[in-house]
Amino acid sequence: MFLGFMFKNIILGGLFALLFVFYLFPVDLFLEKLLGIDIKKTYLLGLTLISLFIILCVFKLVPIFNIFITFFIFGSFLVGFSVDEKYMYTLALLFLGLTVLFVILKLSSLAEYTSTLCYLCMVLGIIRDLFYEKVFKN
Amino acid sequence: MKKYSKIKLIPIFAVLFVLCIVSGVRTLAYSKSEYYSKVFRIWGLNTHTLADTAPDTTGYLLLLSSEFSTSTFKLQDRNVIICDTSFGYSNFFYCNSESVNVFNGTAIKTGLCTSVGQIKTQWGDIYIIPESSLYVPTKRDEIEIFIKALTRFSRDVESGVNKTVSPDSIKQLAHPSIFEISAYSVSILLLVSVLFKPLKKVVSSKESVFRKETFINLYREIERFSRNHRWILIYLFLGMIAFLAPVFIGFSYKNRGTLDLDYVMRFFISSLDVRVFSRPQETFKFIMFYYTSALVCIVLLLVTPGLINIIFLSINKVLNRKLNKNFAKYSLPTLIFLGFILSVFYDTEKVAMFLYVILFSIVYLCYLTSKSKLRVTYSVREKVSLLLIVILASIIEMGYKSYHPVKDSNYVLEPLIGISDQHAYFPYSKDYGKNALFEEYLIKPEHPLFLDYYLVYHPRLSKIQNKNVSDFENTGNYIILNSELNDISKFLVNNFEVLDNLKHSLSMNFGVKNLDFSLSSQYILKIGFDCSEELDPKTIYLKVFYNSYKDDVSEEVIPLINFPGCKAGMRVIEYRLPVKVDFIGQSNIIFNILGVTPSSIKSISFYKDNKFVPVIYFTYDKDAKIFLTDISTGDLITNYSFKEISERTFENELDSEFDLSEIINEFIKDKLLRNPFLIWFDSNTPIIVEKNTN
Repeated sequence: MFLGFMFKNIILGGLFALLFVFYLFPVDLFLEKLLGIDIKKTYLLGLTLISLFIILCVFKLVPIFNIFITFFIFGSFLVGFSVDEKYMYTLALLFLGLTVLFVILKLSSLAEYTSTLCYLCMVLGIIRDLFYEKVFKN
Repeated sequence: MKKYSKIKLIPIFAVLFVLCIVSGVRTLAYSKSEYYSKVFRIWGLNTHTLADTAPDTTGYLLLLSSEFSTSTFKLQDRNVIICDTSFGYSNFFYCNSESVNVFNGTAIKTGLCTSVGQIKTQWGDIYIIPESSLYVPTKRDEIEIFIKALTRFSRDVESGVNKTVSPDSIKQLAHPSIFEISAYSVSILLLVSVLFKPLKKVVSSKESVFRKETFINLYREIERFSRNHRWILIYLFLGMIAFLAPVFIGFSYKNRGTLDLDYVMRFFISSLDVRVFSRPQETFKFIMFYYTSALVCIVLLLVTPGLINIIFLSINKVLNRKLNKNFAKYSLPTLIFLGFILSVFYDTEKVAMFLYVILFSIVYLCYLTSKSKLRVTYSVREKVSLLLIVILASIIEMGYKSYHPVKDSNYVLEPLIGISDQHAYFPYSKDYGKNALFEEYLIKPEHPLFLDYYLVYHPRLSKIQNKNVSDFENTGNYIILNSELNDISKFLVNNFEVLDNLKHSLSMNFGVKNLDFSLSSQYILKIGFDCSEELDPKTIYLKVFYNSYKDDVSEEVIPLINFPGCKAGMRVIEYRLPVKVDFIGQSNIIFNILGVTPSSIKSISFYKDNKFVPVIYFTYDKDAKIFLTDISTGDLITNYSFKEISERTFENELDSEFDLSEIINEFIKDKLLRNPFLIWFDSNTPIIVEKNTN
């Protein structure tokens, strides 16, 4: 079990280290000279990233379904981060109203759910407010 | 308008509610002749019995041969006699429950295994059917075809008058075959009405159908339909929900006694089960399937176009951003560095989700960088600094890890039994937190002690092994934990000798050792039903388990008997039932009789070519925790579980106290216990254990 643990760490760590080296240093030029073929940095980075994905899937660290869920959450965050923050705040307000309504109707589990959604929308709006201009150009 | 709708809707809801209730009401007990009369009417033949107060005399009088000795009556123009006893009628015929011999009339071969007698007497026409042709499922199919043919013939004879045989037109509509055919028609009609335009295009198109444009056009067509008829769809959806709600609420009240939303949800999902097509006789479920499917289609029509628009808009929005150069310069190396640290120094399984997020982020940033043609460059100083940071951070992390290895100190100690009393009642279900371990809990158990599926302590045997049942060896002391009857039966096929420890006088579950199944032999199961029990007509099944190949066990469910019910005054009714399985060869066989309670069976015996074959009965209690215990001598006991368990061995000192928490903590660290897990003793009654505080 220990060996298995180490093996996974070494492989994944090695691939990330390789990615780091490929990204920062002109390994492509060195390989080009060594092998005598046209190699681009993008190819090396792409290949390493694909290998990382494949290795992560081969190790079955999480069920495949969870990978899709992670991708969906990541995409949703990006969408929330990209759109006008007014959408997020309006949605937060809507969920706040629903929370109050559900509390009055004594549907506490639904109220809890909508309050979480309100909180998430607000946080996303604030993150967008704070960091959007630092990440993207207008 | 409001008033009108109120008046109209209340009776509809009431009828619906009553229908829901009625659909689940148990069938009332029938006499045998009433049951057969009902069966014949379902097949289309107009029959009545002696018990009918207002019989339709144009139909057939249905009689049991046993009724001749108990009642006085006159035969009618058309009669059907079912032979359930040995019976002879003047010089015309002789019959018993298995066969009929006609001396003065015609013997009609109705199939491979059945024949029916037909005689014409001065008192009327008589058809004679041996009863086994009706209760043995394979024979019954042949008789059904014959009766349907007889029905058609009878109708033709009635001078072309199109007379409905069954007076109950609703029942006729709900007849499986009619319903099934009409359901196909409705399906096609619905499909054509929804896809009429695309179908028309496909049919009239001169080009190949399998082009990208065809599918795009199809989607656009659906989108246009949904947009143009949005309000109609919304009203339709609300209307259907209003119609469906009382049904669901009715079922919830009927089966749960209250409005259980969870139950309603599960009921809705189960009503979408396409396997209903394999059970066309379940008319209500069939209707529900169509109704809920239509509802789901309407929801999809309403939601899909908007959803697809949003997805495309979102993708467009996310992919057409321009990255800030400064952010791109430092975010990418930071993310790669973070991925490196996480994958090297942490348990990959725990950080896998983070690794995926990091990878998605790197890919996204790389895409935006290359798309906006950002030229991110690093000076030599920056590169060296970044590399040094990585090396330094790795050294720090490594040093931190080696000086602070993951220890038990990460866990929080909690009391095992959360009450101050020194006495605890077992079985005890324990819910535990993420990093919880338990404080010492010393006990001196007097019964075998289990944690979930693991035996951890035995008061008489010091050495304990836990294994999967697939590794079973019939030697030494052992305990086999209980499981589903299917698992147990499969296990017994391969370990037939275990049955010696389970012998029982009579049971619905029994085994035959090394039975040779061949095509030329005849296998008969003789079952005696107890008529003092309230036994309704029903189909009883036989589940057969056998070794198909090496250790592979196959199972087969065969209809054993269409049980017709008991005749009034009868105590035990015995049937000889043929057993036909799709297996040829020799194997240990395990049989389970399904669909009847154990108390309603008085006797079971098995025959091969009319020779008695000894069977071993075994009991099965689905609520028991332990299936079998066999303890003789020695100090080792093996616990076998049908659930997948890790092989664990323990050695306990029998005279000293046992720390229950120690072993639980070990199991929690190795992730062997469920949450909550169960601490239980091998005892039929709850056990009170005193905790030792010394």
